[in-house]
Amino acid sequence: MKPEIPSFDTLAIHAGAQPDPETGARTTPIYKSTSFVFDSTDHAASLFNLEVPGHIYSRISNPTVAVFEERMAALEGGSAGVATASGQAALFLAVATLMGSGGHIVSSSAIYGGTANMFLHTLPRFGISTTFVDPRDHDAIEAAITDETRLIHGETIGNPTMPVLDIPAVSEIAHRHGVPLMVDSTFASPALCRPIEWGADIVMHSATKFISGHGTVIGGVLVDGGRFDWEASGRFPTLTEPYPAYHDIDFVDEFGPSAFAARARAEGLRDFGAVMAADTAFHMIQGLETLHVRMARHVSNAVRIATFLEAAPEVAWVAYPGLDSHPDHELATRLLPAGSGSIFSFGIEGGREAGAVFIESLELWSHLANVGDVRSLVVHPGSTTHQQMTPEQLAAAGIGEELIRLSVGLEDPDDLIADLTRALEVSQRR
Amino acid sequence: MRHVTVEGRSAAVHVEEPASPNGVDLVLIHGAGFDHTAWRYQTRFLAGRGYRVFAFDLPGHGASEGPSLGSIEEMADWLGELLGVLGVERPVLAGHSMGSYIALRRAASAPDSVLALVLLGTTVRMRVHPELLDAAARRDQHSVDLMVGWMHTGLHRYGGHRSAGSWTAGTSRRTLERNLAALGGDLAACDGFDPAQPAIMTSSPALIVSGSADKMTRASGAERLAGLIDSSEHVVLDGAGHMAHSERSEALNAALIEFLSRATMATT
Repeated sequence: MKPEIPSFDTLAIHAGAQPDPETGARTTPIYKSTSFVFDSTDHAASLFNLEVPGHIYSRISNPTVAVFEERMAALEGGSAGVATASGQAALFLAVATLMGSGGHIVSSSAIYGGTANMFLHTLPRFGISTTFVDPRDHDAIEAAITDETRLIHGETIGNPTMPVLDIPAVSEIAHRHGVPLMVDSTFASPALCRPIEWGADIVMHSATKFISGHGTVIGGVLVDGGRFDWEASGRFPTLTEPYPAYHDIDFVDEFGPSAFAARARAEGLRDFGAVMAADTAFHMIQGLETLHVRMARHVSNAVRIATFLEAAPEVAWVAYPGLDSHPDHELATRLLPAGSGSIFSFGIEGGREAGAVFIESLELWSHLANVGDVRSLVVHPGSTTHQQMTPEQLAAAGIGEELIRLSVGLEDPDDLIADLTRALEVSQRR
Repeated sequence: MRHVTVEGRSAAVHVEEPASPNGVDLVLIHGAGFDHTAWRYQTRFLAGRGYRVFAFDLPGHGASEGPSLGSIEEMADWLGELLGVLGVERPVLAGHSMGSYIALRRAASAPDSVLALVLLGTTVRMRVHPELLDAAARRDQHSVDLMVGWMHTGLHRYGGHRSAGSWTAGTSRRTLERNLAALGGDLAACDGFDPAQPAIMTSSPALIVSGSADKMTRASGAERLAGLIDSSEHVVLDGAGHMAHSERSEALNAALIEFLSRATMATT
């Protein structure tokens, strides 16, 4: 008997939303209101004491944002979602919810440059340290875990060299040590990989990318997987001990599988305030409604273009997990059966100089620091997104001077290939 | 969370002490495969209205030591022991689904120890689909999938919860997975229990609450159960499924307060 559970495509359009009870509006309206009227003083007190659900002030929750948060939780297969002002805000919110001074993170070294900055330069000022490890070296991940470790962090598909995180294996290591695994799944989106199904405990996204999908808004989101046993771990007093700011609430006791998300909202959004705006959430919701359709086309375009580049004489190498030549191709086929996304990198013959000529010769592809847009994008990470890293750190992350990162959009792939062909040819003129 | 010893094993009890007690104790009994967190939207709310609230984990569920118990009768007896340990003398018992049968059985066997009953998501006979029984007995994930699909129906199949960001189907899934070892025994206990006799014997005032879209315990079956209890009333929440205490908490809580204020005033 087939369980009566809505499919991903249906949830992408309907989860979290109902027709507006007052107006009948079928799509989710933008509730552009800072605050929400209380029915009575008793109702107000009940809301503030977490006795009844509802909205108080849009820094803590907002009806439009709530639809996006719930839909993300549904699509990722989690228990609850918390939206933020950006992906970086989501990352910081997760860290601040799980640990304080003295906390330690074990992170993949193949990550977004902004994440590396936060871990390497910013968090140490707050007493939080990070050990970076090769995401493929599972022994190194395990060896890096200490008594103070509160989080293992990696990306479903690493940035920008595209290693695929073996989520089942790494989550097993994490859980053996009573530590949660958080996966930044920005490059995959829930349409291609749902890390919680593979053992991750928290999923984060820069929703700016494929989720919004159109390069229009900045936002982030955390999804609580609801499976991690915070009590048994003993490492997370923020979730298992009384919190005086809410009359000694114990989040695990009170919220069970949504304890992490509840604390992140009740404390993190309230105190740090990096909240998603209702207008932004409206764009995110619209993006999610077509996510499954867009991602299929992103993948088919990316496969076409990666295959073309692999055969081009001007190209030294292509790193795309969707190709047989990628070392993680088999793992990608297992964890991302519908495709490995549309962001990948390649090395151009002629190094940095040829790369600069190539990028400046493109007409259809846009040279900018973003990914996951309907438009096709190109960037040279060594001089942009990862420029704060030292040569040693760049080398550790596998970022050479010849590396060019593409984010393949939804244009006709023949037009994209024609533009690439011409720019590659120009790049090799001496 | 308090941990007490009942029949030699550790039992977890979530206690909400009211700031202004009204003298009435309320004991919340979860359903098959769940634990005390199922009552998340009742515990603080009811304590805020003067009730001292106890929401516990049955043996083998949540943070209570196993193994789980094999029949409704054993669960009701265990509840009696727990209440003795806690010093709770004459509470209102509120049970969801399997918990409603435990409450009913306790009320029939110890009528002087129960002030009133609230039976949520209940019916005159809880026959469990053989495929669900079989999958749960094997601790197969399929049992969780079937349960989640049948529990979250009606207006809330696609969510839209008032608690920002909460995907209640996901919360149910994770709770059922955590308690999967107990689910098969729970469902078999529901399937094997006939509530007719305890219902006829019950003298406590009873509020029965159904969801109009509940596919697991239909409102029509609850109406027949109500017909067996002398002083009962039946409320149907429009559009609610089997998980009205999480999905339609405001409507349920309003019905609870209205009933409790009458029932406890009449009998205390």
